Amino acid sequence: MNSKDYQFIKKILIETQELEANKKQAYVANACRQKPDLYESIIQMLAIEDSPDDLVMETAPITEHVVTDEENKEIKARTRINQYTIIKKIGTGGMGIVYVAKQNFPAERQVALKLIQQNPKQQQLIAETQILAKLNHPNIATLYEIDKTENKQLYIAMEYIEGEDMISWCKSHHYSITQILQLFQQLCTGIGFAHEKGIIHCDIKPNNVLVTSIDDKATVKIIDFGISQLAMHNSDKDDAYEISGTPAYLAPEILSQKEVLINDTRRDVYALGILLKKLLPLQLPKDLQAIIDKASANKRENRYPSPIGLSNDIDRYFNKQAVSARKPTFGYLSGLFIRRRFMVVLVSLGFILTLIGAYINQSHLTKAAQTAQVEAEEISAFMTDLFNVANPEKSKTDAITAVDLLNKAQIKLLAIEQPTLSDARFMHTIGSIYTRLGKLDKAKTIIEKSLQLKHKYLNNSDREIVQGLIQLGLLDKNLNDFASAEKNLLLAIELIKKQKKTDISQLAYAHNHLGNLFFKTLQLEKAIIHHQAAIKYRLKLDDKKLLADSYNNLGVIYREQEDISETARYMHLAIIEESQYHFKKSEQLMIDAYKIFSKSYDASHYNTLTVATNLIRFYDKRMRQQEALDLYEELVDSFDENTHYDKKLALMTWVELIYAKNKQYEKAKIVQQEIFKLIAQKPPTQKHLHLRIYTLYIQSLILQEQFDLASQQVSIVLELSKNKLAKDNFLYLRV
Amino acid sequence: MSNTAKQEITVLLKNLKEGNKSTQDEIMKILYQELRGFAGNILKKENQTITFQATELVNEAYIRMFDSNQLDWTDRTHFLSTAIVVMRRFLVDHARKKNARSRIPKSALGEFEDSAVLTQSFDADVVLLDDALTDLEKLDKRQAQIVEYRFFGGLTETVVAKILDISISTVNREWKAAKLWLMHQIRNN
Repeated sequence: MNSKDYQFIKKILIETQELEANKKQAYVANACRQKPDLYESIIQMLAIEDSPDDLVMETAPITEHVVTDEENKEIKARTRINQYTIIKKIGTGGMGIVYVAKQNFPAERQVALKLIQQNPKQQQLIAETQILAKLNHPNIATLYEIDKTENKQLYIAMEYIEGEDMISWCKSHHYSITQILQLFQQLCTGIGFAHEKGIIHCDIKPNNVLVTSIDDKATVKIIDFGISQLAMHNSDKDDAYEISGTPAYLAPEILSQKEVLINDTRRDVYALGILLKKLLPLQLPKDLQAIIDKASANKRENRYPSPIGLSNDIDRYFNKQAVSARKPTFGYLSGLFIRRRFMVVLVSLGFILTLIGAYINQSHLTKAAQTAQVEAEEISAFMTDLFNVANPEKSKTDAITAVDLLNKAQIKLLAIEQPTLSDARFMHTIGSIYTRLGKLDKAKTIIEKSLQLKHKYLNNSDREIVQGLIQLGLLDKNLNDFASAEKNLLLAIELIKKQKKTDISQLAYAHNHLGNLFFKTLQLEKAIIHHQAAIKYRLKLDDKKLLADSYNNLGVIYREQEDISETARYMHLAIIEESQYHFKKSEQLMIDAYKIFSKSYDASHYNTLTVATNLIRFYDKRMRQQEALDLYEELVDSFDENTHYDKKLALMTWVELIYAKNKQYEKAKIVQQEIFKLIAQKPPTQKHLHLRIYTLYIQSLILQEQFDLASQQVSIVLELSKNKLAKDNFLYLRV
Repeated sequence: MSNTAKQEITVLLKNLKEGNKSTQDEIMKILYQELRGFAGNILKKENQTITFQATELVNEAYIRMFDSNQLDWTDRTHFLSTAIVVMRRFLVDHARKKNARSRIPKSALGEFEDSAVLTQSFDADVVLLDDALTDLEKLDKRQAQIVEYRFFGGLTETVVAKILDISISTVNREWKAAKLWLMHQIRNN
């Protein structure tokens, strides 16, 4: 089939989706008049619709393990196996089929008899498992015997428990959280007991934790203790990488470190944590959540060292003491959701964090950190609340987008009867985010509301009110309500001037936007006045970036007026300011990067050298040659000539120039000789580098006032290349 | 997932983000190996008939591979779409093996082979579907991707829409049409 035919078919298939069943055929007949050969196929396809075939693909493929005859061979009732008589099959588990059997000797009792498949290492197995028989604890099903028949059939006889698995038990008995936890503590005690004897269960899961009623008291009975370890030896293949256990309950390190099996107590603690998580409802008190989190931490060292520690923390929880697991972070609460439903939740969660981040930023501007913190906590509680409403597991719908969440927040906020200042601030934050999302109408509504509230609580010329006004002005501008925008911005400026301590940065901000507004409405003279005002204030401030913006804005206006010289002047100023932008920060970033690179790769790695070179150039440009040279000396021994030859040359050339600038001519000369020695043996692979070496060399010669030598070199350079770049460099040097 | 594989994948994912095509194949290779080992372990140990949706394996692999904080949304999307492609190969390979096995007399089978992992999908022949889907890929790549995500990856239409950055209703329309075409292809083969 060709693509054209396919698209034709697809189009019809999609179009008919909207039609009633009895109209489809006529539609297809009509559509296929030009392509009668496709008619039959399309009708056949439509016939599939809603047929069983159509439903087949709605189920994801199933992977199934097909049980072989060997495995399936069930032993009939009344069969004798040594001193046991089979009663009935009760399940297939671990490594074989489990039966209830009657033991005739030495005592008459019912046992769970597990028949294990043939195994060459049976003798060793028997010896090892005997140890397990010593475990004697009310919460552990007793292992009576492990042995084999004359036919070499290996079997294990265990205490027979007539009970339900723990999850079903708790459900069928409608257990409360407290009851579940108390039962769970029994489990911890049992596992803890075995740990003290040096035995790890290795396969804790609901099926292996049974609950039965003893003297009317629910009692946990752990079965299959250590049996999963047998399964490991049971493999016919001598495969050292075998992992035993059930995937969902397997600690991550067991899966990841295949070479060494770490069967320590924390492995069982992990499984306990997962089981506890499955036993309890999704919404939990923070402390309890922290306990689960700690037990099922991905890193083994973060878990409780033993089930007893876990159980003790549950005690503390009961006594309303601080649990050891609790970490007072907001992120931790959300972590769980991510793990459960990362697809859906991630976006929303990231969004909430942004929101809170934005909020904290906003209030830190105006408030003492502590107050801001308290408010942020209120906000996070609010958002968490909201998030719970939106929690996909609760609402059963799959999609909750950031915007949904935002809308919910807005509705919830606006519905508050007596909003506080905090609420007003939060409204402002939400308005800002709506603005960024381009939902300007919504933004305007909520910011207006926020402003209205703030008037109740704050002084009229308060910074926050001004900020709201400016934002409103900007929204008006973008909504093309220029008159209102002008009014709001002018009012903002007026209010700022009334402030006890004038906020210059806000003032500049307002002027700048007023300038932009007048530019947009082509009132250029007014625009110039306001941009000049903005520049006047911004010159007093430290933010070069904003100053550059203002210069640029002014430049743009002059360009509109076709005043070329003024345009050039301000554009130039903008470039200068821009180029000074955030040096401190970039320096710190480069230093950090250098440290990280030299640690995680090594000093001679390409990335490390690149950062180092940039850093050296940075120092050089700032006239901080000594720092550049120090760094160079730190690096000089780590160059690997084979792999980073060009890099080395480039860096050395820079250093030579820096020495020259620093008037350390001797050193410059040494480096230069070194360079020439190197390129005499092997020229740099990149041609332009060759040229640069010469041009930088010439520069350094000029600095050393060795003009004759310099001009000699210049002619070499010219000869070396007819390249325009070289000529430019040459001309530059002439000047 | 072994530690090396984990690290490799993280590095590869970063590369993938930078648009390096060959890394996708490498990720698939690693994932495929890991997944096979992983599924093998589950199945060998249980020795009973257990059925589970193949996609659970992808999720399981995912949860074990990543710290939930370490990767951003794009990484996750990359991983997921890659894992689904792997899943598809995994399922189809096993289905092929199963078909081959039914033609070999049992006595000729090796000792372990008959207890191996087998793949089934109720009624649908995964192999035929895979063939038809490969044809569809040539005709309409995006539509084929929708089928791959939904059928082999078990993703909901909402998630598919998100990953492909199209509307949910588009996903649904395309999916409905694709199903009909694919089943028709399978029937006529």
